[in-house]
Amino acid sequence: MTITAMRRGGAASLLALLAAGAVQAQTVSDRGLSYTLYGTPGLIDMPSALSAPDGQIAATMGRFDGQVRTTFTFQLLPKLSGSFRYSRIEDYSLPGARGSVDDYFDRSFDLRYRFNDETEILPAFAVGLQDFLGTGAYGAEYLVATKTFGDKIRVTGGLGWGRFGSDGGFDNPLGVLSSEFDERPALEFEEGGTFALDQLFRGDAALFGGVEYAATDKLTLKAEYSSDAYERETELGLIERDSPLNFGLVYRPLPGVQLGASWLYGSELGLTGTFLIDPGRRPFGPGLDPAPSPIRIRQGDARAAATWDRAKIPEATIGATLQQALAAEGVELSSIELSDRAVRLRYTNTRYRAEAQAMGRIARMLSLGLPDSIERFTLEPMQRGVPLSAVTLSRSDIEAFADTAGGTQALSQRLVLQDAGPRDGLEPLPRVDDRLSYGLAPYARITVFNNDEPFQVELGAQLSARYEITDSLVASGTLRQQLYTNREDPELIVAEDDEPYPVRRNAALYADQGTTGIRDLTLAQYGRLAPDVYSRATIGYLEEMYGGLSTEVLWKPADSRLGLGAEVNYARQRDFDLGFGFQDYDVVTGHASAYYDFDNRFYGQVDVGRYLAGDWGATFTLDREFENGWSVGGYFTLTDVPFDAYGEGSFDKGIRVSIPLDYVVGQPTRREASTSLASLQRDGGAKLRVDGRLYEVVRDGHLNDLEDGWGRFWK
Amino acid sequence: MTKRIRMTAALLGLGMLAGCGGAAGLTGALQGAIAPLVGTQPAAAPAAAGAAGAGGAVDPSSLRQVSLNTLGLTGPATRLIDNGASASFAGPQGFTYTMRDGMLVSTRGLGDDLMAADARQSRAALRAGGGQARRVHETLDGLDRIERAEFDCTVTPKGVETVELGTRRVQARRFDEACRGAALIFDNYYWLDAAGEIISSRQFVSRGVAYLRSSDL
Repeated sequence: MTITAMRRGGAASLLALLAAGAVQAQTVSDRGLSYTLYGTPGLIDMPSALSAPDGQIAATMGRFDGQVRTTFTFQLLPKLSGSFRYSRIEDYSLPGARGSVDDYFDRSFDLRYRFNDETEILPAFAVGLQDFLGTGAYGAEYLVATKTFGDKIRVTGGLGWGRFGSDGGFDNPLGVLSSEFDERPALEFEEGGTFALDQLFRGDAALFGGVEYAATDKLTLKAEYSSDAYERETELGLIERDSPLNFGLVYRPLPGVQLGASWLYGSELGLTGTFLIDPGRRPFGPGLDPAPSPIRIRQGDARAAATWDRAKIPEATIGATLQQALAAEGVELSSIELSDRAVRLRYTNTRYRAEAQAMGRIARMLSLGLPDSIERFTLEPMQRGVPLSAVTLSRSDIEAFADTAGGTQALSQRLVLQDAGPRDGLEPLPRVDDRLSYGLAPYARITVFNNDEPFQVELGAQLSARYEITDSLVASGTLRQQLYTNREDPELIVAEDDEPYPVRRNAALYADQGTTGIRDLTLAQYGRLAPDVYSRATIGYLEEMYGGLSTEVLWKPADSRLGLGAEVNYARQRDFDLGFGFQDYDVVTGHASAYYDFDNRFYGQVDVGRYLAGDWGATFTLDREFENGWSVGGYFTLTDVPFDAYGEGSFDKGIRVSIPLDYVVGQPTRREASTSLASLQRDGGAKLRVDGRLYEVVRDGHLNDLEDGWGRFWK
Repeated sequence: MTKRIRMTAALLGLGMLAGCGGAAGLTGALQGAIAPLVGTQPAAAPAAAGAAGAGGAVDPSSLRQVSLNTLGLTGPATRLIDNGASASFAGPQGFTYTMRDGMLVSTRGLGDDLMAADARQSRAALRAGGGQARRVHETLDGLDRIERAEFDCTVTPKGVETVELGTRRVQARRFDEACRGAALIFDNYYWLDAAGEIISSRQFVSRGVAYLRSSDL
């Protein structure tokens, strides 16, 4: 009942937000933005100089005459966007290849940088690299300018190279700089996936351009002159290119949805659909969290009391009552230290994504229940039995800043963040919550864009259980039963020539033979070796493909941006049937890792060490994280496995997205959905997958994550 | 949800309260559980007990009639705590709101909540019989940041009207407050008794919730 009513509220606020966004957030540049067949902001097939609103993700599917392009474009920074594209071209083959294959599948990456904001007089200018990291089938570079006139008309003109310089091309103007620019070297495909630097801005250049007309708020008409000759496609007889002119329209039936149709090259019908998602615009706004308990404000001289009467209110009664009260907020209180003027709590927040919100709810209950003389609240959040930090708040501040404009910020400036204190002095409370938890749930494993199998799915049910022997020693396991899959029978892959041992490529065999099996079964021990040093040891069936022992240490002070860690594992490959057995392959693998929070919403990670196939190298990861828990990032791994031995893609790389579940459902939860895209998992640069690595466990209670979630303190 | 039920059940076992479910029940329950320990028990416990139908006289000063038309929520609200200058109430389905000297300063459990407000100038204008005031509202955005909005308001006396408070009909002075901010305009209404106390009002919460109407009984 409650939820229904609240959802109605959420929907109302969503509409209001969207309406507000239409008025407030949009500047000249991102108003009426629409997407090309390549899934980038622009005309029909040709790009423009515009950017989407910061942080926006656009998923576009564009198709015309046997080409299907599925593109995700992320506005990485206000002026920088990146695109990942998976495309299928029927009957296509790369230039130089003999004959044609059935269907050609390809992945490509783009980058676009906009130099300036559009002004009254000055257009926006941008430079773009298309398919600069794939096989180069869509390879093109461009310089482009876009100007908006009034509310209705927008004009774009640009200079293109590569594909975009293939029709009406002239000698490269960059030739004045160096004769090297005059010729574009032939594409050397090899395994693809490397940076084709010697191609960029080389060869003939050509002009392109177009006009957009906003007929209504929902409908935009477009016309463009394309400088893409579709040389290879014409040569293979795939496309009939009768004209360089394209005409199209884009219709926006709902906010966040764009549907487009176009008449291309005088002969082809093109269709596009785009879905937009803004991590910063939550469907349920601030969230449908149930109301917290109120604050009690001590009256008169009550707060001057120096002590309280322990005969009347024994400490044990306070501990037990608080434990019960906090359980209602999903907070498990483990231990408490009481003195005349202060209280210190250690607890595990199992409900709120932001530790700050759990802290706010705890502070409210402390204000309600504790004797008046207690002025200082020290909260030590734990995860997996390990205390992460200590946040000290003054009770007078809590009383003064609740429901007060500016109070959230004032409190954040006055709190004291330190490393968690010592165990000494804390009175442990007997556990009242269940040590055993279990659940039966459906699972789905979807593999998209995998070579020539664009969509593989596996559905089933999994039973998972978890028993907390102590707060920090946990046994857990997952049993899976596959119910449906559209995978075809895989064959056993063995290493050929100088290929690395197939440590990951036989993944399909696990799905095929392990229809009923143990996904994982482990015993994990977490610890805190020193105030800033955390440890983990996990033993058992660590993941689907490997079992063994995994050990890790992490140094990460609560208020530091830098974290340093080391991990050493012994891993042995499991039998394909997901039973208890092992195969012959084993390896010692591990990494030294550095984690850095750049304080501008970017987080970097470098791992250096030995990978599953015994190869040595390093992984570089960069994520953009949003305050509300969204994260979008990319990574790549370079190891001593040569590109040609690695196989398709040359080296391991990918994009990863993590979405907090409370963003989607509006109710408080710590769960999140994570996925990696674009990673063509092969054997070079493969890492062991272990649940609960320390950095992700520890950081919630540390400075930056606390700051990010601080707005929720009073929610 | 199970935890919530367990919590309520546990407190029931303690004989602290006959729960009425939702956050209101819980907050009442908490106070019921904790406040006796510290020997200070404001009006909350009897109010909560009364709401739960546990019998006994209910202090009418601890009750309000509340409605949120946009969300379709109407019903009695019970006072959870009286902090002197401010008081918090729990309305239907567990949402709560806090009034400081009759002025709405926060709501919780409504989704697009009013996180905090500074309405002191508006209160002063009401006391002065009208005038200009600046007020500040804070809400939470989709990135968990506090958004601050300032409003320029004009408080105008509208004469004496008859208002219904539960079964009573009383004469009260009405004031309208017209507020204008960067992206929002709203109008609040207040009815004041002879002593200058706000006995009924309709005050703006947020864009998603619109107005909260609260009246004495």
